[in-house]
Amino acid sequence: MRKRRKTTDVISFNIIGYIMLSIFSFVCILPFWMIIVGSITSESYITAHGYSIMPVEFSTESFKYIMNDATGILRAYGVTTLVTVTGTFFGVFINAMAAYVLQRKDFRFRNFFSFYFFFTTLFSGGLVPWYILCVKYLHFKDRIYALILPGLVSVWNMLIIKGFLGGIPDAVSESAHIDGANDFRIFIQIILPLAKPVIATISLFTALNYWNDWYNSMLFINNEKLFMLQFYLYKLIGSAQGLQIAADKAGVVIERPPIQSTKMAMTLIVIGPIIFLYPFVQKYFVKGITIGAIKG
Amino acid sequence: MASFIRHLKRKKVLLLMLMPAFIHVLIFSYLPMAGSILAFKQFRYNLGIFKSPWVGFDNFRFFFISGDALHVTVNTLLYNLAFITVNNFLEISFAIILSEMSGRIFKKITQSVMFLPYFISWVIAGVIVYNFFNYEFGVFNGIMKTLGLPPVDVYNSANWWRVLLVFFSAWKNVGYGTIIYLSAIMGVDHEMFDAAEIDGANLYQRIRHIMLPCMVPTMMILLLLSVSNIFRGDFGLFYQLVGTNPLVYDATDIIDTYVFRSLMTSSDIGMAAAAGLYQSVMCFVTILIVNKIVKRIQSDYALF
Amino acid sequence: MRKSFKSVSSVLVLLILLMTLITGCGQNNTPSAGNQPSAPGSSGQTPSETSKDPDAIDISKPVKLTMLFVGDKVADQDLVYEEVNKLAKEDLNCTVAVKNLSWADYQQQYPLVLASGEQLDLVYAAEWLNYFDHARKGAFHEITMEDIEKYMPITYKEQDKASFEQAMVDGKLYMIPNYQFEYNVYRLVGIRTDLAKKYGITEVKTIEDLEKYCEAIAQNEKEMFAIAHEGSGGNDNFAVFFRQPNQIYMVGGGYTIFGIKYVNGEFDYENLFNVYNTPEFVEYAKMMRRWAEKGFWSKNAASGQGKINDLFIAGKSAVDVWHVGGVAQDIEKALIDHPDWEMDIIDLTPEAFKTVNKFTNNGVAVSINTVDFGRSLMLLEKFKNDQRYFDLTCVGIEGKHYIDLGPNKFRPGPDANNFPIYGTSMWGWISEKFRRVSETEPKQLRELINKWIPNVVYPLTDNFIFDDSNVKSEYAAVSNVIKTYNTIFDLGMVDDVEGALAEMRDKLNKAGFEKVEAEFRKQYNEFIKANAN
Repeated sequence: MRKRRKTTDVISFNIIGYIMLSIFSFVCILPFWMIIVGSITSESYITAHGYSIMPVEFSTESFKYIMNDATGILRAYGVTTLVTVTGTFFGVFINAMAAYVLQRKDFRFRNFFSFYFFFTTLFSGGLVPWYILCVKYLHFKDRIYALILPGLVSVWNMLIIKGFLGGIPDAVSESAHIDGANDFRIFIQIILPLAKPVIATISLFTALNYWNDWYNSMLFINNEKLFMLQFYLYKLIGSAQGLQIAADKAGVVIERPPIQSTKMAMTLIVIGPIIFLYPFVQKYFVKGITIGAIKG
Repeated sequence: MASFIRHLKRKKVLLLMLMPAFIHVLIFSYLPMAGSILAFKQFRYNLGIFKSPWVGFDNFRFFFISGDALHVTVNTLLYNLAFITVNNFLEISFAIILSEMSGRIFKKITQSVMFLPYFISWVIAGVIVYNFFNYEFGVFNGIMKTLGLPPVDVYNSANWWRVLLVFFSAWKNVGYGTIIYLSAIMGVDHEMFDAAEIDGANLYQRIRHIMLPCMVPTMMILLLLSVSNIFRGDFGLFYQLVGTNPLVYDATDIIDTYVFRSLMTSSDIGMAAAAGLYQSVMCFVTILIVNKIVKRIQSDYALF
Repeated sequence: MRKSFKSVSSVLVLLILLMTLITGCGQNNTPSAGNQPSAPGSSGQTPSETSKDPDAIDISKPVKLTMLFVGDKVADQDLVYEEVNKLAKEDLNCTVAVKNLSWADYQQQYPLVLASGEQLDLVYAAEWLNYFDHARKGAFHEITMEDIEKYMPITYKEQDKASFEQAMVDGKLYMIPNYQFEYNVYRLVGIRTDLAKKYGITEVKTIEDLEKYCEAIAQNEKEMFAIAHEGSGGNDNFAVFFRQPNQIYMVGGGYTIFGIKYVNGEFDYENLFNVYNTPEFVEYAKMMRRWAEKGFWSKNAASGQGKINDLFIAGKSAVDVWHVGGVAQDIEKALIDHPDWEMDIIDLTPEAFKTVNKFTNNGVAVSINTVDFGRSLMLLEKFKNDQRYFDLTCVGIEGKHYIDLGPNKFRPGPDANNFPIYGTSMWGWISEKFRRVSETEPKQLRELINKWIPNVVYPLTDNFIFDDSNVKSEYAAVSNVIKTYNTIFDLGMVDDVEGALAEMRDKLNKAGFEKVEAEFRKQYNEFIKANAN
């Protein structure tokens, strides 16, 4: 970090910064706090009084309910991690590579290809044709790649990388070209290191996208050994609700599963690993890069 | 066409690098796009997409017939404009603050905290908001009561919703967007910044004259990407937060919620496709115009 | 620039055309491939060497069937269906795999799976899943009476033909409805008699009494609501305080606003009317407004997501509204945590007619993408009429999920929560014949139901389902308006009831209500003419 003189502009900037960030952080953390409290509050209290800010009627029934099948949840974590890591690695690589090509000014048809990609964010055939394609022609049923493939390319991410790469002077590529490096090597050895901040960002986004995905599991996966975390938890709540419906139909009075507190606990279980992972990614946002050093 | 191929031959490494993404999009986006014709068909399960009978523009009628189409379309547009403006303003501000402020630990923590709402699904957010603003037992009116103020009926007030929807959109998305801008700032050559400091420019001047201009390309891309979705609403935000409260529909009904309500009884695939196509076409026209304007001003910033 | 865009778009158009062609060809091949083995009766016509009986159906070829359930998979589902498959392999030379749709998104997924063209044999179908609409759009295989006679002889013999009539779509059958009498249409209320006593209310028998009781609650019990409706709960107000006291029966399915009256012990089929145009409705809407103003439910009820039943059990609501079994159970559940409460089930309009749930609210259809139509029906026959299959699929494995207490009786077993009794889409084949009733069923329930049985009526109009094909745009727009105003009136959200009604009429007209009404009346009159005698 550079040393800063404590001049008035820096001081006033810091005051504004502290105030704005504090307010916004408070707004962000308050609901999250209510979720934490909700997850350890007894179901009957939540039904009667709603979610509160301070914990009342402490209970761990929601976590017990989720952990009932510990192997199931561990497996779901495993599948999710595998899908996230694979998907993020290949996804970011493919997107960044395409983004690099699209911003190369000597690539004459970059406008055509940009439009080719961009067009898909505007028009889509809708869920039904897409689903038919995936199920009937690509055989996505109960396959792990069904969870990875659909999210691999994100035009949105691609265009953001493209925007970032646009800020790197052309001279960087050109000088390497003269040295005889081919485009792929330039991309790997020069561009990628320069693009660390945006690659870190997009990796984070892609990873989150995979991590949070439950829709593809729901569409394609019937085998619970391949359930991803979010869907596993959704299903847990779904079957708890089903249990309720069933009991009502059968005229059986059952112990009521803690549906509401489980919903809250679910958020925490999903978010947990990301919170631990985040600081590792964060360093790339805090530390800038100096192009001059590489140009040198 | 011939020059097209010749050029591609010369750039075959670049072309190869483009191929994985190209093929993916071809398969997962362009192939199913043929199914858009469903919007003009009466879908029959036994005939499939391509053999179902054509019905012309019949599937679009349900949306326009009642005269609400204009009003929900305008709502969608205005809300998205508000979201784009407010969210981008906050994202850029926070990114600048985070990059230039002192206090490493405070920065790290707030940055993580800002990201939390992204994980909270709208369903859960809806439940919490109800707890907060419920007229009789909500936290908000509890505070009003202790302050000796009359309770406010937030849920049935259109004006409150106009503010709250913008607020919650920012709440959920700003943390995410801030990171993009932050990475854009990190991409800026810091030598320039240091040089300006030595030249005696104060912090605000440096932000104004060096940092902001460097963020413009990212800003433009995000802007154009948002504009390309300007007629598509965030269904979860509107549906889970406002619920099915008809008293505020005038202020809170967007295309997506309106269509959802209309098709709940019939689950008609063709009509759903028609509504989607309507949104796509509207977005397409808008982005063509906006992109053209951007291209005229500064062609580097245009999307295509 | 213009040129480049032109070339861009022309290449795109070309690409899309190409794609259409490719997918189009693929599409063409599939239905025939899927249909070939499923041609109805084909398996029966092939002569089989092994069978001695010339009429016997050839089951020499093993098949794997797929069955679509709505609802998440329960823990022991696989275990149970393993047992089912052992039986099915032996009896029918087939096995069945279950595909579950999650409660999280079944509304969207159900049509999606039907449209996908993947193999699907037995499909849980129900009116609330838009059975009639899907059937009309060709999602299901037609089932003729001959098919039933051939593949499901016991069903053919034992199941009342009236239940099939209900499931007819333009004279054709696409679903085998369930065959049980479910008393879950009529709404009753549960109240807290301890609270009533506390505030000097000795008797709650009529709607007026209930209002007094609620008023006492609203004034004195600051921590609770009188009738804590949330979300779509307003529908219950419509039933309990409008439909039932006024002896009105809604006609046509879906978001209908047409009803008929029950006068002097019979339905007046000739007079179909728009219930919103009646003076009774205005009166009801005004009453709801009055109640809303008195704070019987939250001002924000329309945005809440809780269920009145849970809120009643939790002590947040002084009134519970549900069907008879539901209220009875809620009371039992409440007693677990609050043994000191006194509660009662009340029929506010004992003279009102009672109906049973339509048979079409649960049933099983065969998908057009079936690999073996005959075998599918044969398996369904087993589910319905072979006690071993029925028990397995409905109550699970004996000793594990349920304890057999003799015919039609059971007690939940140690693992009952892993395979909830009547917990999945087996509702589709449930029948009175084998249905087991829990030992723990609330006593009051049977008493009430027995009291009703003489009053149960079977309206002819249960067989009438409005076909919106000719006016589907108008119908969608009209439904939207109805849904909007339903909530407004049922939860008493506006002061000026007449004004809101006028506004609703205006919006309905804009949405094309006249056309819908004309079509509705036309279809209804034809139906009545054909079925009156």
